[in-house]
Amino acid sequence: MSADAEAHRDLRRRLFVELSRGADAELGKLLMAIGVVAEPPAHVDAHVLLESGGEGAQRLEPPPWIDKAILAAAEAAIRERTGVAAVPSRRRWRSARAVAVGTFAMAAAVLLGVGLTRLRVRERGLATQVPAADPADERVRIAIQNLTRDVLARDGREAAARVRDAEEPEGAGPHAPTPTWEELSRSPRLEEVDPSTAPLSPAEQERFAQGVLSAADRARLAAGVSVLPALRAMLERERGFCPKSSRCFGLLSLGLARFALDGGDLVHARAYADEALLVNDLEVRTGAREVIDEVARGDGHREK
Amino acid sequence: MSEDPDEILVERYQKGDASAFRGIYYRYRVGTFNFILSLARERMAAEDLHQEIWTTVTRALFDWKPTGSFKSWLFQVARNRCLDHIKKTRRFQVEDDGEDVIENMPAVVPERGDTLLREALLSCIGQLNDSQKEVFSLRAIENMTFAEITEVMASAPGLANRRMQLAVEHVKRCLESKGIRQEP
Repeated sequence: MSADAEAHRDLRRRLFVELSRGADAELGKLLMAIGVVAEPPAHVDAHVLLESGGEGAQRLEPPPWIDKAILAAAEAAIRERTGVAAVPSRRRWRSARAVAVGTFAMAAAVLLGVGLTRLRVRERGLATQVPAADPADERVRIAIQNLTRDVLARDGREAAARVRDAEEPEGAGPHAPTPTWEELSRSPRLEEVDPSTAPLSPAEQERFAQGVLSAADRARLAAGVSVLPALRAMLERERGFCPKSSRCFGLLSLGLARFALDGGDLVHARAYADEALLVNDLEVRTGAREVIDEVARGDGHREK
Repeated sequence: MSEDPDEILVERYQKGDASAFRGIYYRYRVGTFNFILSLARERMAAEDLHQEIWTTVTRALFDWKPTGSFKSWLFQVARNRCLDHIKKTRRFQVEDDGEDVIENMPAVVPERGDTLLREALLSCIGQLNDSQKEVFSLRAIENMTFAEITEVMASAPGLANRRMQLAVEHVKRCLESKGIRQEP
């Protein structure tokens, strides 16, 4: 008898011995040895023997962006509890009222983008575009993030006041200093919405995604190519708070793909478009296909 | 990954240590995800539920007290949310018979092990009813005690044990009916 056959026989024998123990059967290691569970239970814990999705014994893990979103939520929860920095970063759940002011946030973000660009240029006495590495870009990014977050989570009028303050700081003259990012990011926050009572409806998710995209798009127009990396980072982060299969996720993925395409990053443009393509939504999928076509054309040009 | 017990990690998290949460999360992320998947039966829904459940956990943990097993509590939270989801989506139906499980198996053949036995075993497990599958999964894969399973499933004492007994008996009979027997 071959070694394999002997091993199989031993496995069956051990399995039946355990099955004969009824409820006391210790099956974890045996299931792994048989290949029903692909890795040691200590590392894998539960594998789906049961689901009908057809993934059988494969090791199944949540996708990395979900991990990131969850860890970010934990950090936000800590900040909220300890009061170190009351920044509610869990934006997946918002009340309808909070979402309703989202559109306003986008306009505010645009104004801020324009304002900061103007201040930056004024301070430097230059009318040229600021390179991507300029720390001011970081301020734009943070300001946009905070504004988006603020206005989605609270009264839009307050954010408008912040935009005005940022654009025309108190005592602002021709040489007014550029606000620091701490100044821009400092803001009182409203209480967060209880996630158990206020899940976003698909329509609200869409408004959220459209709002984020609109803000990013307009900020790009205002500040130019230099803010692309910051805007992409922002979109990526926002995307982590949309349910993965949702239109919201698809729209932001598509936005990321377009931003990457704008920046000439064909590899990421294709990767994001592929992710958008997985969302079951005609508009998103059509847009994703367009990006993929563009990428293909871009590749073609490069090869030539 | 941290070797600290769950209770210590939770305590550190409650005091504001984000790395402690990371330790807890990475200890249970695969387990909970697969448990959720086993109930939700659809990958995308499971991903959404996973994110939602753990996001809830990040907040609820601040009020958690070590009066019972953290693992039981966590799985109970996951289970309750999944059942809510199932009720809402009205998809709580047994879809998998053994043949489907076999047909849907990935084409990957494990390097080790007995393929025939593996397929038969998956088929037999696929024939268990939902409650039995859940207990079987928690017991055999999650290595939970019956007390923990009882807590997770909020069931009557002894019921988990009984379900596991029935599940194992069924699997054994099923394997024998497929010609797989303990060889002398």
